[in-house]
Amino acid sequence: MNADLQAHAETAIRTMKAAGFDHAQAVAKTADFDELNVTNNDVNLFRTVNKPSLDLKGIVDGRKATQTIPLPEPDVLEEIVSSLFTTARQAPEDPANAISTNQVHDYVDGPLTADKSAMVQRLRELFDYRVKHTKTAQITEGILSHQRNQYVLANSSGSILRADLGCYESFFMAVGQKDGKSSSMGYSMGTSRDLEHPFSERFGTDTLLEHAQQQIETTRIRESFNGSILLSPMTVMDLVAYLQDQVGDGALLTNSSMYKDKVGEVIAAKDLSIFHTATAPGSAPHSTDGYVVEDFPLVEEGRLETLLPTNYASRKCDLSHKPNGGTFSVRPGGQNRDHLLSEIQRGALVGRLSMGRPAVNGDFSGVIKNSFTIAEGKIGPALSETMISGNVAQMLKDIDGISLETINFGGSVLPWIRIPHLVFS
Amino acid sequence: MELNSNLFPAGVTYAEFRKHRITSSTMTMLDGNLVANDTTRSQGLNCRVFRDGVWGCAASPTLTSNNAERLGKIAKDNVISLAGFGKTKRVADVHSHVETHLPRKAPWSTGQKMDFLETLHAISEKKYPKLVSSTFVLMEELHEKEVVTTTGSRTSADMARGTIYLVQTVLNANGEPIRLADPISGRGSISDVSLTRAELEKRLDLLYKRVLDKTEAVPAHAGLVDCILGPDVTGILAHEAMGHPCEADLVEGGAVTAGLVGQQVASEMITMVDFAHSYNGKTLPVPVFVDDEGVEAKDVTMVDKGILKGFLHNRETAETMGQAPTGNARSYMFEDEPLIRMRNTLILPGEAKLEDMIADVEDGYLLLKTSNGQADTTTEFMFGISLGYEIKNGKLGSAIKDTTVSGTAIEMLKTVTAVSDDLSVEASGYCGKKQRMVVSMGGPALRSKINIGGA
Repeated sequence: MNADLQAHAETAIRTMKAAGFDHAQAVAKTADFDELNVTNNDVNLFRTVNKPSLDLKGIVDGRKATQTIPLPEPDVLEEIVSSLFTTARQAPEDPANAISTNQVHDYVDGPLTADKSAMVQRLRELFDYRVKHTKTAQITEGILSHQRNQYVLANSSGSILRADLGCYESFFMAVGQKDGKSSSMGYSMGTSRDLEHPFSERFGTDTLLEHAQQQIETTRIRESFNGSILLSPMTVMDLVAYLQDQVGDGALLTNSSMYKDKVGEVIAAKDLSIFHTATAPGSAPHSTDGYVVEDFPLVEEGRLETLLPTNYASRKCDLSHKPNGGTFSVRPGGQNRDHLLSEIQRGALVGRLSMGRPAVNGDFSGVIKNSFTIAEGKIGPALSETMISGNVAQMLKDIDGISLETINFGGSVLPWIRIPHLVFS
Repeated sequence: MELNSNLFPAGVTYAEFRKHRITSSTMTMLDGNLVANDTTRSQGLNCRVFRDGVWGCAASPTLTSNNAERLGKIAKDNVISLAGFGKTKRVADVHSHVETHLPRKAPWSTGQKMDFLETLHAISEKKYPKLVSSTFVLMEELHEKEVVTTTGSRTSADMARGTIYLVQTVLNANGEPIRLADPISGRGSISDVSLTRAELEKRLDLLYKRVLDKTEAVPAHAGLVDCILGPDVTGILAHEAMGHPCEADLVEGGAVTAGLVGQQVASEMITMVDFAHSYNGKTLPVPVFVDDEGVEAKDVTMVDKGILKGFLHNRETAETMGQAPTGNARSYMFEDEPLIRMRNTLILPGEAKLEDMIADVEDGYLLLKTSNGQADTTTEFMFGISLGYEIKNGKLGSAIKDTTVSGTAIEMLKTVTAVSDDLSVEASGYCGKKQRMVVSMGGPALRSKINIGGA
């Protein structure tokens, strides 16, 4: 672990306590990354960044202020802490403000140095794959980076969390182009601890390129109808994110959660289980508010197991604190994806959902992008300008199929999910 | 440290250094509790070099000549390691000497901002009995940049934005929460964009009326219907659906606009411009006088009376397409490389009166606020609508439930039949394109056919 970071964090806490804070927390951290950028099937930028910083959080008489500054700035630390103290004193008193107590954990994970030649090689392979297998698909943008994040979180209540994390992160955007026509943009992305496999075998990138080719020619639906959707793993992320929002601080603190009083109740189809994963490539089992996190179920066979308030929201709303790292996965189902598709009489295979933020009651409408028609169990032409509408909370209850197959995005592992009764227009 | 030409690494076609300092703050009051009280300072040095068709870049926070030389070496090593990649062999060779620091009011202290938040909370407690929650957010950010380039540019500029978010939540008859937000934003800090107490109360009164209207909202009828897009919706349409496909890097990537220059893409009532810093003699919310490649910023007319005219460029795309750079290369944090970004993207006002435009709609909707928006390089777009009203026989009716509108801009804009004579510009939120970016957008009201998603 980086001794300098620990020294910075401890110096900051001492300085904050000396300034008069009742509770002090400091996170000294440094982010290093090497990043290859792709533009139009070619690498065009190699960027190297070193970014150290220091996050300060101070509480005095229940009044809180936070500040982030570049690191190192030892000569101005006292001045910054003094300003932070003045800022905190001007805040209203709030007994819910607190820091964690006696959380101690060290974690080292992933490749701590970049294998730059392997990064270049994997991109060359992807470009070759595109030319060989999906020539009319263009990788218009892409990023492959190695990231190393080191941090020491220390506070005046005995917590000290240390992490040194390395991972590779990738993002590719593709469109299909032929005879002056173009498909919609599609994406693939994920994190990993290694570069052992070609990108054509990871994160659904092969499907991205194949579908980009197939989506150059599109059709519009002729009439409104009720039908089923088979959500791809990328769009299942949107479904999980809605639930995370609903059981997290924002909705809980503003009294706009549909689920605040639903712990222990069935909120989704019995097939649906969503669980929190404490560790993932590039992320330690630590919450941002300074707690060690564990694996736990969020939804078990359709039943809501817990809310996800931070320490602040739990104290404010009188709820049980459930620290989490933000990574959730959906347990695979028992049916083959093709079987799920074969049972759809009318609907769509949805590659991307472009929609406004659902209303707080779950009502939504959105455009399905990178999507195909399904009729009598078979995939048909790609769709354009097709909207679906429904209610996300109801969609969770209506799920009638979850695939055995999944895509591992690094942190989240997600299957295909089938949902009936959506309005297409 | 002072940036100077001695810092450039040898053996590259082009190089630039940028010194970049960012200060930002956020204060969030939720139901009288200050849930965020945060200040962030960031600064650093960025070196970017170009050679053999590829770029190398390196950045770190230390502002010293030694670090600059170190970053120059890393950037050069990076570019050399990409040998074999790269197509464009040159970048546009222009230079400028621009120094702009527009006057701003003195920023408020934390105490003044706290008083302001408490005033907003007190007004809400006193006047709006049906609120179940209110949130007020004050956000400020200041960017100070210096750039030197091997083409001879030496520039210094700053950019500041202040934003106030007013958010109200009430319950409908089913006990379901209904929320609506109203951002107030502009150039400078909170002290520059803040309103008088009377103006604030008027704004809060209107927000409260509208959020209550939404408690009795009816679903929109899905389909292609006559709509009047308010200035906020026009602005996001301009930015997302037509602006992005006119960014030259996306044009090179196959945006549908590539083959449409000189062709009609909108009604002849539509003229759309990405303004660098001012319009009609007034400074716009995000004034960019010089970009982060040291290029003086110029206005770009993308659509002129319905005809697609031009694209937004950086040095590289300008050279590739044989056009002049437009000063659209912008970076958000010190470690970020400049990307082609919009600045102040507006559809220009027409001659119609909004009330006449509404009166001419037999059965349609007035769409006033968006929750978010996305668009494609095909100009296909989707915007969430968080506030809209029915129009029946030329008169406004019930509010509609949250919904989505979609379409293809180059088709939808051809259906515009009226453009109002007013203009509204706002600069809240961020544009996302690898990095986030402060931009402004706006326009008049438009009457057109648009696909609405129901609810």
